[in-house]
Amino acid sequence: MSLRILAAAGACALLASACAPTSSPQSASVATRPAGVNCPGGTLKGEGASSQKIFLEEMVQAYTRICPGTAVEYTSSGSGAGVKAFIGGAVDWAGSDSPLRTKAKDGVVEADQAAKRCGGNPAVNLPMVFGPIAIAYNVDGVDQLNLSPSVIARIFDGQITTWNAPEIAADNPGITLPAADIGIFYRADESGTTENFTEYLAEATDGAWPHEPAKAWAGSAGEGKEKSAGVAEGVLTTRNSIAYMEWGAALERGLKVAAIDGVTLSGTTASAALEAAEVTGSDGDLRLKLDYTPGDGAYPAVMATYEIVCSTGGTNPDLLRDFLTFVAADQTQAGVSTLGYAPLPPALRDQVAESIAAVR
Amino acid sequence: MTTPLNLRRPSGARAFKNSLATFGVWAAVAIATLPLLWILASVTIKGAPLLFTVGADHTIVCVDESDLRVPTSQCGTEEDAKGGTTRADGLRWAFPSGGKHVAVGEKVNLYRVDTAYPAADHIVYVDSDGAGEARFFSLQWWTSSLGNATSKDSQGGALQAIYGTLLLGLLTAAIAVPGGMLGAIFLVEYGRGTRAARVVSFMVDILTGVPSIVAALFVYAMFITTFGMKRSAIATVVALALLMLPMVLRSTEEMLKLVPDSLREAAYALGVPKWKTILRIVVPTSFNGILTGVVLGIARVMGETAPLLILIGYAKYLYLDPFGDSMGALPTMISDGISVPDGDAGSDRVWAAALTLILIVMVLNLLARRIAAKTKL
Amino acid sequence: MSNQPEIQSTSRVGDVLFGGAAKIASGGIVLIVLIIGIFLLSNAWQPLLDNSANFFTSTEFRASTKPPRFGVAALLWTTLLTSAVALAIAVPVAIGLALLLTQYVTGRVASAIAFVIDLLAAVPSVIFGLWGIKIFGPAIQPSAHLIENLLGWIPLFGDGQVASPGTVFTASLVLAIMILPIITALTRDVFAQTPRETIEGALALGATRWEVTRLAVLPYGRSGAIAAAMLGLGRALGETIAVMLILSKVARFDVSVFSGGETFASIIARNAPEFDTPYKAGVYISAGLVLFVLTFAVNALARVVAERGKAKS
Repeated sequence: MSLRILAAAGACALLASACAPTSSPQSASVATRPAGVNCPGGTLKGEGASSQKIFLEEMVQAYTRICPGTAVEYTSSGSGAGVKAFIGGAVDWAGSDSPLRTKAKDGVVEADQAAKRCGGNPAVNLPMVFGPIAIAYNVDGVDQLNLSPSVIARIFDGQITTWNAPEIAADNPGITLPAADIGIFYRADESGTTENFTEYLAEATDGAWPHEPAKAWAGSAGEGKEKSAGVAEGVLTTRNSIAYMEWGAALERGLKVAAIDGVTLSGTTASAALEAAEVTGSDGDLRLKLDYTPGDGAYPAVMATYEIVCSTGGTNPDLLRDFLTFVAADQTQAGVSTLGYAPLPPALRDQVAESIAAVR
Repeated sequence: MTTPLNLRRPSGARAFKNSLATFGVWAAVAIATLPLLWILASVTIKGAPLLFTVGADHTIVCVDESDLRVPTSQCGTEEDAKGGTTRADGLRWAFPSGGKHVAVGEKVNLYRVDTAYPAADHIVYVDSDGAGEARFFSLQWWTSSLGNATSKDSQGGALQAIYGTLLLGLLTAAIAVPGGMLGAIFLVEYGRGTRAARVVSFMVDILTGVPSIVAALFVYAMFITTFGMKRSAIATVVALALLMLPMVLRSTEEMLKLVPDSLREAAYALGVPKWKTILRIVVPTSFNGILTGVVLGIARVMGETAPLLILIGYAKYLYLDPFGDSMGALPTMISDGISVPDGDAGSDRVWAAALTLILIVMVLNLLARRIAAKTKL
Repeated sequence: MSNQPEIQSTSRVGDVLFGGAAKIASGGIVLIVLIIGIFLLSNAWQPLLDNSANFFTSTEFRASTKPPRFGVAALLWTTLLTSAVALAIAVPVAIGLALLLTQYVTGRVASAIAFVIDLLAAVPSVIFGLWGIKIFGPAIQPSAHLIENLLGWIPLFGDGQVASPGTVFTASLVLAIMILPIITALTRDVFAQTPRETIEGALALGATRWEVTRLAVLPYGRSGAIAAAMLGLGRALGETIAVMLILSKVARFDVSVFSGGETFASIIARNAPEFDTPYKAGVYISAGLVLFVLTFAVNALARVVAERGKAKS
C-alpha cells in the first residue's frame, strides 16, 4: 500500500502537469471559449492581494477548464508581497489593492522599479477586480438595515455604541433595533480593504471620520481579526456585531449586508458607482480615481483592485494576455456578482480590453 | 516524655496531605493527556475521511425562484436537470458544488450555483429529506496537488504540500546536521573544558532560545532587504537550519559524552590519530543516538510555520525547484485555508492537512524512538 | 617504530583539517548569534531614529505613517501577560508530572506517561493554533465568561473588547499546553538526580511520600525547575503562529486577560505580507529585535540559574 502511494507520488513528481485533476466538472456556463482566447498553454504565476483570491480562484478554474493543460497560480500573500515579487521578476503579474506608486516612499518609486523589470517599458495598472465593501451585521430580527455614511463612520469610530441609538433609528424608520452594544470587527492585518474603506469614510462623511486613511485600521474601537475571513467569522458568531469586509466574504457565509443611504448592495448598484470613476492614467495605464459620492442608485463603497502587468517586455506575455482577455470577457464578467464582485462597466471594460490586447 | 513516633501509620493530617499530593500528581497527568487526546481526536475525526475519500463534485437539489429548497420530486426528472430549464412555476435545478449537505427548506447559497447540468464524475442526488453527503474512495489526497481547486471544490489533493514539507525538512537537515555535528565534536573532543567551549556552549543555548520568527526575520533582513534576493525555499531552509542546528548539536553532544573515554584511549594507544578515532570509533558508537536527535530535529522543523509565512509564497501547484519563490507546505496549507468557512470542502482540507502533518511528525517521532531503543550505549 | 613519524604526520594533517572544521563550525555558531543581533539592529536603525513616538512607552504601532509612530509598550504587555499566565498554569502541572514520573511510578506506566508528553511536544504549533481557535476557544468560552463575571472587578480580569474566543485567556491556555512538555522534561531530569540516599533516609524515618518530596526532592530540584520554567517562558514569548491564529487585535490598549492584543511575534507575522519597503520592514524588525533581546535575557538567566543550582549541589 505505502509502496503504491510512493510510486504514484513519484510519477506525479516527474510529470507535474499530469497530476492536475482531470475529472474537473464541466460547467456549461463557462464551457464556451470567449472571443480572443486562444489557450497558448503553459504556466502562469501571479501573486498579490488576498482580496482578489476568491475571484481569481474561480477565474483560474474556469480558464483552465476551457484551456486544459494550462496552470495558473495565484498566491494571495498580500499586495505588498505581490508587487515586490513582480518587481523582482518572480511572478508574471501582480494583483494589488492600489496602483503602483509613482511618488517615492522610503526612497522607493514602485513604478520606476517595475519599468526596470519590464525591460524599460512601463508597467500598467489594469483595474479588473472590483470588490464592493459590504457593511455586514448580525442583529436578530433585523433583516434590512440602512445606514448613512456619517453614521457608519461614527459607529466604526466608537461614538455610537448601541444599536438603538437615535442616529441609527433615524436612518431606519419603522424598524425596532435592540438595546444592545454594537460589537465592531476590523482587519487586524494591514489591508487594502481597510485603506479603501477608510478612504471612502473620509471622503463621504465631511469629517465624521477623523482618521487618516491607511492600510492599518486607525479607529479607536472594536476587535481586530485576521483577514476578511476572520472578520466575517466574527460577525457570523457574534450577535449584535458589525464589520466591513469584501462582499464575497459576506456572501460566502450568508451574512446580512446593510444598505448605504438606501442603496442596497448588488452587482448592478456597485457597477453603477464604477461608471462615475475617472481614469487618471495614460498610455494603457488605467489607474482610477473612484468617486465615493456617485449619486442616486449607486453603491458608493467600492474598492478597485488592479492587475499589474508589463505593457511590453514582461515574462510569459502570450499566456498572460490570453488569461486576462478571458477575465475581461463579457460572458465571464456576467457571472462575477455571484462571487461578490462588481462586473466591469462596459466603457471601462473596453479600455481594459484594449490595454490587455497591447500586452506583448 | 514525647509520644513515640509511629513509623507504620502517619497521623491523619499527614496522611491526608500525602493523599492530596498523590491526587495532585495524577491530576497533572489528566491535565496533560486531555488536550493531546482532544487535539488528536478532533484532527482525526475531521481530517481522516479526506485522506482516502473524495466528496461529490456536485449535489443536485431542486429550488424555487427564491432559491429555497423544495422536494426534488417537484422538479421532475434528471433529464430536466440536464436541460437546466426553469419551469413556469419558478422551480429549477441547482447544483451547489462540493458535496455539501443541503437541508430541506434551506436557502441554497447563491454563491457558486451552476444552473446547467454538470458533467462531473461524482454527482449526488439529494433526496427530499436532504440525506447527507456522499464520499467515494480515492487516493487523490496523496497523488495530486491542489492545483486550480477553489475552496468549494472537493477535487485536489495535498501532494504539493507534502512534497514541500519533506523537501524543506531534508534540505534543512543537509545544512544543520554537518554543522551541528561538527560543533558537538568541537565541544566534546577538541574544546572540552576550554574557555572557547564555554562561549560556544553559551551561544548554542542562546540559539536554542531564538524564536522561529526572529530567525525568519533575520534571514529576511539579511538576504532579502540587505542583499536584495527574493524569497525562496532556500531562504526558508536557512532560517529553519538556524532552528535545527542547536537541536542536533545538543543531542550529538550528549551522545558523544556518553562514549566512554576508555574507547578513545584504546584507539590512541594503538596509534590511531584523533580525527580517525572520532570518525571511526566515537561517532559510529553513538550513531544511533545522534540519528535519533536528527530525526527529532527534522520532525520539529517540518512543523514550523512562521519562517514559511515570511520567506516563501504558498503554492497550490507542485513546484520541484527549491530555488523558486513559492512552494506548498503543510503548515502554510493550514494557515492559508483556515479562512475558508466551515462546511466547505476547503475547510475539510485544512483538517486533513493537519492530520497529514501530525502523521508525518508522529511517524518520525516513533522512528526516532525505535532508533534510540537500539542504541549501543 | 619506523611507522611512527608517518602516523604522526597524517594525524597532524587530518587533525588540523578536521579539528579546524569543527572549530569553524563552532565559531560560526558564535558568529551567527552576533550577526542576528547586528542585522536586526541595522535594519531597524533608521526607522528607530525617525520614530515620532516613544519606542518604550507608546502603545501605538503605526508603520505606514510619516514619520512612523511605534512603541512596544502594548506588545510587551501582551507578550509578557500571555507568557506569564501560561507559565502560571504550566509550571505546577509540569512539576506534578515530573514528581509523578520520578517519585510515584516506575517502569511501564512511567514510560507510557512520558510517551504521551513526548507526543504532545511533537504536535506542531500551527495545529495548536487551528485547534485553539476552532475548537478549544469556543469550548472554554462559557468558563471564561464565568471568571469574567466573578472577578470582573479586578482590572486584570475586567471586561475586554473582545467578543470572540480570541482573548489573551484562550491564547495563554493554549500556550500553557504547548510549553508543558519542555518544562516537564527538564524538571524531570533534575528531580531524577535527587540523591537516592536522601530519599531513602527520609523514607526510613517514616516520612510519607509527600514529605519526602517536600523535604528532599523539591529543595534539591528547585533551581533546576526554575531554569526549566524560564526556558518554557522563552518558548512562550516567541511563539508565533498559534498566538497569531488565536489572538484578536484590539483598537484600545487594555490590561485585561479577556482583552486581545498583539505579541511581538504575532504582529510581525501578521504584517509580513505588506513589507513593501525595507524601511517598513525595519519598523517591524525593531519589534523583532526587542523579542530577540528579551528571549536572549530570559535564556541567559535560565542558564545562570541552572549553573548556580549545579554548583550548589
